[in-house]
Amino acid sequence: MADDVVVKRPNEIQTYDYDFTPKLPLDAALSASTVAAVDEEGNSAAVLGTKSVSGLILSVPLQGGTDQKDYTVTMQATGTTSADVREWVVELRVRRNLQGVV
Amino acid sequence: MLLGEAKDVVREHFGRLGLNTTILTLGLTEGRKLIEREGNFWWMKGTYDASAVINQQDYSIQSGGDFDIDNFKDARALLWKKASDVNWQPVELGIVDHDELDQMYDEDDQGNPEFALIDNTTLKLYPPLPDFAYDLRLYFYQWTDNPTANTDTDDLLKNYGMALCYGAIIWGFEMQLKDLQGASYWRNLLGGTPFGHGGEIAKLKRENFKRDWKDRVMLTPHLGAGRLTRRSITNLNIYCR
Repeated sequence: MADDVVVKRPNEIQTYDYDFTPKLPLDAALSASTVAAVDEEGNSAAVLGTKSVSGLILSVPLQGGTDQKDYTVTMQATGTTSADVREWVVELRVRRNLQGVV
Repeated sequence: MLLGEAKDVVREHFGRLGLNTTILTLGLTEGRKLIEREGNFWWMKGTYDASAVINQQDYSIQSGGDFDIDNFKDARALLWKKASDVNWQPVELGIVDHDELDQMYDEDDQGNPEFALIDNTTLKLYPPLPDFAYDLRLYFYQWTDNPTANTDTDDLLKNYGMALCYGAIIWGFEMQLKDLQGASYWRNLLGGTPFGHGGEIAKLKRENFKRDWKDRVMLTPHLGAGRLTRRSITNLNIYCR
């Protein structure tokens, strides 16, 4: 189940930031991080740009995608001090015509 | 309608964040079940070829069984032939009760399949002991699944997409919102009152009947030249005087 939902149009590039402070309260930095995206059938999807890390904030550009498809983006981070591995999951809905507030 | 569009239609009734996707997918699955419980529809049809085993009466119908069928719902017909033959012969399927067939045939009766019945997930052939490894062809209906990709479609979604949306919304109103009065509004749109006699389900049943009319029913003049052309499946003939 996703922790957050992002709706974007296919041509948009939208940088998504997640601050792992609540999930890694004992840490000040990340020792490792990964970001992966799959479509509804579990196939790897090319909807991510190059990730970056600043302290406990993991950022990734969400880009491309096919209209009307939903993608699951999993952001995983490891705390430097605690060595805890935590995840934040984003459901990315790519819609060209669906408008208005979510 | 694409699956993604159906999802969006349902989401709009619960807030786009109000129904998480896992639950929404479950709702669409239950919506399809709600429709398919009302009848055996054309998109549920299938056939499966298997072989009888000499002296074996029972054949399982399930995933990995003798008839390897997922989500079997109902049987339409059963045919048999010898492997070397080119024409299929009908088996009377499900028209005589189990106990009556047990009385009609001895336990050691052999021969080609004449009658068959389905007991839970087991197909039983009569006479009980096939004397040859006959080819069997089962025509059946099965419960179907929604497409897995958001951009996919199938016949129900493509032509009667709102029926699936109504089904999912009913489930959502009952399970998520616990709003039975709201659910009854959508239930009426899906199936009318009494349920199954109106709405989208009535449209599906009319289309189903039209298709079956072409496939299965033959109007046969009771007298005259047409008599010689009537089909051997006697219970399907409608005689015109």
